[in-house]
Amino acid sequence: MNTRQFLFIFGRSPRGGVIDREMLDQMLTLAAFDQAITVLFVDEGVYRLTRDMDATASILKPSELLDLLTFYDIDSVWVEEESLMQRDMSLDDACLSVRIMPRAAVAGLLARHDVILGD
Amino acid sequence: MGVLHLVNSSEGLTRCCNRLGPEDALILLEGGVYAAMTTAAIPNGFDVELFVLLEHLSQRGIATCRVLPVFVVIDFEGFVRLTAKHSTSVTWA
Repeated sequence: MNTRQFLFIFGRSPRGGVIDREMLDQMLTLAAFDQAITVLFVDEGVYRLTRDMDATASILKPSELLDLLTFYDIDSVWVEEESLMQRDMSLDDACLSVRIMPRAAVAGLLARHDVILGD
Repeated sequence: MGVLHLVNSSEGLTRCCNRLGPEDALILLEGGVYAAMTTAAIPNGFDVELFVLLEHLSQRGIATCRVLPVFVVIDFEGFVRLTAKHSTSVTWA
């Protein structure tokens, strides 16, 4: 099977988990078929990374999302630096291991992928 | 060829413009077409091709004479050609 480069962008605020659940289903399905997956958090999407978020009302807690990524060996997980800074957040606030990417590098990241899916 | 950015809201346009690459193209769709009437929508410092979908302008009663000249008005056929020309597309809702 051909391997294609998939990029998932979380750019909107977490909205109760249905969209997250669907995005996650897509990711895990692709991961099961050994496709290359990268995840990027930008803008309001970075709030998914918030540690200690009270997610009792949501279907999927942010930390669960990230645990599942690890379980499927999806380790290319990035957050845009400017999006964090604009929200007074830092990597210390993140509930999982993500790497920081400056906004200027995002266009290049998009161009390197075959399929881009967003929330 | 760069990335084709599909923008279908004004919020999406802001998100998109922050992350445009030098050879990318941008097309306004659905609620995003209103931005074709204002200079505020035009990304600075990039040689980005700008398009707006005719059918979605018409559905919202926006005459093509209201569209700024930097935008190329295209129909669905042109839209299909544009998607075929770019290897990757990304939707900003």
